[in-house]
Amino acid sequence: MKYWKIIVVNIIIVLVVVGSISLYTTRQRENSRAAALSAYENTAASMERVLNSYMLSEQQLVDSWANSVNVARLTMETAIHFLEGALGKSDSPASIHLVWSDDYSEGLSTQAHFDCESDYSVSYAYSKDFWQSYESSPAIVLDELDFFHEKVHMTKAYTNPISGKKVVSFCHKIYLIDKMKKREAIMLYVLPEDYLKERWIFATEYTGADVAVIEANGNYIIQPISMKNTNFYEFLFSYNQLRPDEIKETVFESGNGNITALDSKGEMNVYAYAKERETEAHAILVGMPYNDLVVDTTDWTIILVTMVALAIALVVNLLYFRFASQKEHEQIDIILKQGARLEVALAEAQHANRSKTIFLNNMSHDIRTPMNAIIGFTLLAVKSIDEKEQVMDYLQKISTSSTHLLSLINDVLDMSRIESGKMKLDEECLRIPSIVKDLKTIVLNDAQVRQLDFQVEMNGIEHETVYGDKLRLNQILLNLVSNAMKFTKAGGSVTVIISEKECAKEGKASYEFRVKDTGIGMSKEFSKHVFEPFERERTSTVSGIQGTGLGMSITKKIVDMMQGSITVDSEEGVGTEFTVKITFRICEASEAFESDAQEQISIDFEGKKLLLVEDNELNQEIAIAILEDVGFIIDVASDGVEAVEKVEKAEPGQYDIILMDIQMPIMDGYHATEKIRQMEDSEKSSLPIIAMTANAFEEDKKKALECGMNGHVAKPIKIELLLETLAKIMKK
Amino acid sequence: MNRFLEKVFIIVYLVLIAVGVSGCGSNDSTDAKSESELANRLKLYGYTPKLDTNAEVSLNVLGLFGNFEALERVFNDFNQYYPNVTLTYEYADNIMESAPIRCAARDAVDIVFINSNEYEYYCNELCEKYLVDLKETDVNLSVLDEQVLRATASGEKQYFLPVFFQSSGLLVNKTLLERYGLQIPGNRGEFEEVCDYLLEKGVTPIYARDKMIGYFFYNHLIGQLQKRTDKAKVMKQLNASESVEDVFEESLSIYEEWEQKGYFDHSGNELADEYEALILRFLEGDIPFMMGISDTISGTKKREAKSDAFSDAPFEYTYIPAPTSENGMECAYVPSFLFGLCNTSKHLDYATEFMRFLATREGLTTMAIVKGMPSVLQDTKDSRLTYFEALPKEAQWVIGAGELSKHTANSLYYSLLHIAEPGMDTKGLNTYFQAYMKDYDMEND
Repeated sequence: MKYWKIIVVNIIIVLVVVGSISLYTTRQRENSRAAALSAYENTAASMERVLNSYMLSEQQLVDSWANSVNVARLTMETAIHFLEGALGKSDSPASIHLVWSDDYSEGLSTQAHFDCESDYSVSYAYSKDFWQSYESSPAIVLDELDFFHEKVHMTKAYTNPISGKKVVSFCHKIYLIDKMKKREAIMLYVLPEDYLKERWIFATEYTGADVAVIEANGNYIIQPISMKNTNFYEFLFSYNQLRPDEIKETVFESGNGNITALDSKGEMNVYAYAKERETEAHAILVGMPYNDLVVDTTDWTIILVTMVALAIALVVNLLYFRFASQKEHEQIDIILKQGARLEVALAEAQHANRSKTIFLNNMSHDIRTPMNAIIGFTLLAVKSIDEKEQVMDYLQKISTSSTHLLSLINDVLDMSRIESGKMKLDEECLRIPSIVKDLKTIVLNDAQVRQLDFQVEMNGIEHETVYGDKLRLNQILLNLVSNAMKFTKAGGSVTVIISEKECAKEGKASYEFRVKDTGIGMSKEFSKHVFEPFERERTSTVSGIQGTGLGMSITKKIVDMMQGSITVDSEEGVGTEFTVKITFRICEASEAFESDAQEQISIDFEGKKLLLVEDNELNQEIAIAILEDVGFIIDVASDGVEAVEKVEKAEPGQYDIILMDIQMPIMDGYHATEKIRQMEDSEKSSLPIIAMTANAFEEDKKKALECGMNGHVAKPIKIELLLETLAKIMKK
Repeated sequence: MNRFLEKVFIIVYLVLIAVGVSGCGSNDSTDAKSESELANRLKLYGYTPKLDTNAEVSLNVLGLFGNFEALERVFNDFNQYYPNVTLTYEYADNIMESAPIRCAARDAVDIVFINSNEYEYYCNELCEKYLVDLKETDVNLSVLDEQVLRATASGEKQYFLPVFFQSSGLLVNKTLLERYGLQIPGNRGEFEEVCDYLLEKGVTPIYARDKMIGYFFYNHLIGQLQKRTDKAKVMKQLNASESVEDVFEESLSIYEEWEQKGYFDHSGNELADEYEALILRFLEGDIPFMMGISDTISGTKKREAKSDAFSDAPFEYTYIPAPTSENGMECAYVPSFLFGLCNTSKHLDYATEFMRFLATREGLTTMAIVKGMPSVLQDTKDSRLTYFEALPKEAQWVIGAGELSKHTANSLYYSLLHIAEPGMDTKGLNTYFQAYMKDYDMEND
């Protein structure tokens, strides 16, 4: 829509510019035309004055000759001789005719007849009687002369009876002697029209102009080629339908002006006129083509510049539109891309949402199931409290369900931490064989229970010790193996093959961990999504196999964190093989050994005094039971403040170690530890403190160490781990 | 901006600029149109120039018309081939006196244009001394009808190229007749009925100058002569200047009857001239029929603009042949407007070339249409002359082409011009006839 507005604005601008130019040039043309016509009219007026002077002078010449003839009382013959001498040059185009005025039939000329050199007779009567309609016959011309009122007695143009050419005559009445009597005659000073034209067409700037002299009735006295008809008014009427009476009125009332009209060729002409002012008997006309007179003064430079400017504006506009269009396209592309991304994100979100919904459904099922087992078997154990074997069976099932529930919670928490980027790798020197050993220790029993053949093979391990996160590497392998075991039916096999591959990088070693099973396998389609969170090919309800759907995803994330790769090759009904490739930095064997050696620590806790800082009574009870079972003497504080007070008030040697919960009312474990560490009594301030907390993440562990604690044990308490940690710390 | 909008914008923009520029310039499209029309018209001439088309030549035509727009038009076309040839048309106040003079003069005219009536009386000197026999030139005379050539020939020689037919007839105010519920009469009986009706209504039917009455009845006289069983004998007698009084009898009888009935309004005799004044009188709109010749009629259209009465109350009119026969209308044509080549012309080759251009079907047609007169080709379609074009062959005659000599025909014509004189009878008309026949003989002696 905005482009239309721009176009409309552009068109308006062009219209205004073109309109302005048009108005300007029109006005310029009008001014130029008016000036040209004014000058042209002035020329006609000047010519009229010159013509009038000329006519008067010619008439005066005739008058003077007439006076001389009258005074001398001459016969026609002597008079013509006298006048011949007065004319002077024998080759003059002008001539003088003398005719008796009674019927104009007889007379003499100073010029011989055109076809008889000895014939000087002249008659003006030949056409008077027969063709009276010919108004310009010489006889009628003479009849029309008004010798009493007009100063200039000039005939209109007529055919010279002597030469046959068009002539105009200036006349005067004279008296000659004929047969001894005085007889009236007319003296005609005959001037050829051509001769007059030459005399009357003045050198002006109007080279193409034709000059005519007309009588008041419009008849030509002098007629140029371009003005047709015998009458100027009729001429204009013929080609323009301008009424003769109106033209006459225009010419002889206004006196000086111009008429624009078409000529016989259809060309527009301008006829400037000026009437003779004294007698108003005739007028002079100057005609020329309109286009020759009114030269086009259009300033083409301005028009050209403006048109070029408009063209530039056009180009600029187009460029703008192109640019705008390109920008718009880019914006559209961005929007489309964003849209696509949004669509992808939406799809992903929808997918994630759908997955999470499925997950929640699954979790709801998977959490409730062990919880149901725990609660149910607890109730059954209570009811069967007297039946030891039965109770033991129930407790075993409760323990299994609890373990499963814990793994569920751990997976969810791990995934959450990975997603939020909070999970960090904790590298240490580890031994690959140790990893294998641990794996076997953890899995073998379960494999036997499931009646699976579990094998671990190590091929070509040149570097047994490397830097890596032992815990996470264990987690990777354990996840893969657990997964394999879960989906492999009894009688099947699960094989772990660990091999070292060639590594081009110095100081590093590449390993390939392949976990292969003969389980139910996966479809090709699911194989593509097996590492996505919350993905399970079948729900646990359908498969009967419990799982969070996060195991493979967590595994993949950890492998990624280790900058390794994980692939899967599976065939339904045949089995699945996961391959993990990880490159580790090589570790010196001594360090690993040292590290490994540390694991061999064991200590006798009998009689050792332990301050248990725990706000939860159940947890207190569990901890007390476990610790007292291995020989510890337990003192309990319910929060940080109480713990700090107890330590402050303690006698030297009253406590050997402190197990400190983190989240507690009044004062948390971190704060309490700091207080203890700040105590002046170095024995008290250096008491080993082990965090025993549900804040089980790595960062919690780090934080605990940072605030002065010596170790970290996560809840729920694993007795072996707790005792191992206690032993490790207390040994130090 | 999408491509469509861009194209629309460019087109609108360029059109506006073009309009702006063209607004400052001339109207080229109009010029192009008129050039196209001219090109089409020139094709019709079928003419190929034979001379140097760049030559600068001035041709001077001496003629009897005060204004000759038709000639200007054809010459303008000629200028398309010869752009540097200029035409000077010189009006001769007394063509037969001045033509020989102008042909003999040092600046001799190149072409003369005369009326055949004058030719009959005064032309011998002009033709034999100063005119070229067109048969000896490249001018193609075959475009003309045999009768027309015969009527304008001088013995074996063809000095003139005729262009128009002169004829006499009636100018009819159709609107006025329709107002009275009348139609254009087709023959004498119908004409008299119309006139009688108009008289009853107090309208004088025919407006005429006396000379025109004679010319009008000349059609009937020639028609009667052609229908006589003793035609050959009578014509021979007339050619021999013998008295055949009954030749005038029927024409005179009809005139007298109409005069007696009061058909004529003779006030036209008082008019200043028999051309423009007569036309303007008719254009006042109250005259049902006006006697006139085709030359006069040709000027009516042009003079409509001169008439205030016609401008205020325009009406429809037409020109019809004389409805003087009981069988219908009749017309005696006179090939009366003739072009001759002066042998004294300084540019005889170019003057001949123009005559060759004029003597084409298109040249003669253009002349006739512009002038508004019947063409000698007779097949020119001119809406003003439809009644003439519809005349049957047996009701039209070309004067001078038959057994009646041109002089005899002209003498009959001039004698009949006296028909409206008071007390005129067949004897009186015959006397005039004898006189005109004799005058001609005397001229030739």
